[in-house]
Amino acid sequence: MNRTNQMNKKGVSVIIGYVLLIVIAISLALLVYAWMKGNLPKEKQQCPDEVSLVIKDYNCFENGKINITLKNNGFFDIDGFIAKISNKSKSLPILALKGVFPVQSNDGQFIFGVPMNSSQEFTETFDYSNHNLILDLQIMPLKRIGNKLVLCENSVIRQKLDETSCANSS
Amino acid sequence: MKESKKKGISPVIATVLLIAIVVVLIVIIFIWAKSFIGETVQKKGSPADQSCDEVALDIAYDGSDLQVTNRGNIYVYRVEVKKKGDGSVERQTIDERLGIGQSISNSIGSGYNDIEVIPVILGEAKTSKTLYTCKNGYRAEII
Repeated sequence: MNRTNQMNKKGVSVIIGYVLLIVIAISLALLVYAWMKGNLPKEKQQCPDEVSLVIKDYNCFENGKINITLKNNGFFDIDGFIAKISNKSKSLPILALKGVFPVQSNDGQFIFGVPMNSSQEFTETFDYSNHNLILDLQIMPLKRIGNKLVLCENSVIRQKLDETSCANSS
Repeated sequence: MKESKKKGISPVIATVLLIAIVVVLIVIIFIWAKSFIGETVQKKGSPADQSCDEVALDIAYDGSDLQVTNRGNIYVYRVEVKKKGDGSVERQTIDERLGIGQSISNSIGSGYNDIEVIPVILGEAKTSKTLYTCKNGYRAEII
């Protein structure tokens, strides 16, 4: 009797069971893969922390020009920098320094033809005549990572200048 | 005697059919379920949220002007400003682009004691570009 009862029980065919198992397993795996692919963080293009640029010296002239000497104090080459100044006591350095011909700049951005090596110094004259006065000078180093110029936000330097020394009287 | 007369599919054909059915079912389920994952705004191949974490802004408010410098490597399309003062909260949009290292200065009014700047970046959603407002803002330094 028991044998007869068991024979009469209905169930899913074994083959269909296998098909369903495999389909469910692979579908779940694909769904998880698709979801993870869109949410995994990509590697950031970041400047090394050891990049360091310092303002070694500066000289202001009354004709609206300033001579700045920068030194690469870090372990890595530097490919350029962005120079900004402020001419008001209550202001961030947001005004771009201009290059003096033939040095070209783009909104305060200066790119070296040859990267600045570690321990190397760079001296150049810049034009602040548009802004009349420099109270604060900010230099943001740029480094080429791959084929992209990356701003080294952790290596930005700022220097307050004597308000009597950098005033354009022309 | 009776078993030898039973008809059935060749094992080879059965295996091929099984594999075909499994693959077709997987593809159908995947296409159907993908619509539930939702459309995410992306920037440079990652969710826009991650790019928002990389935004770095220097912000200062001098009592009338808001100065913003983009100190990071993410292009900011525009900024939303939340201004708080005297118990009220006002919002303003500054529709100016901030490239890497670029700065802007805009008059936002006076009398505020708390300024928050929320960056808006340009991302991609499927086939079109779309603006994404970052969830976290940056407090301005009152100078």
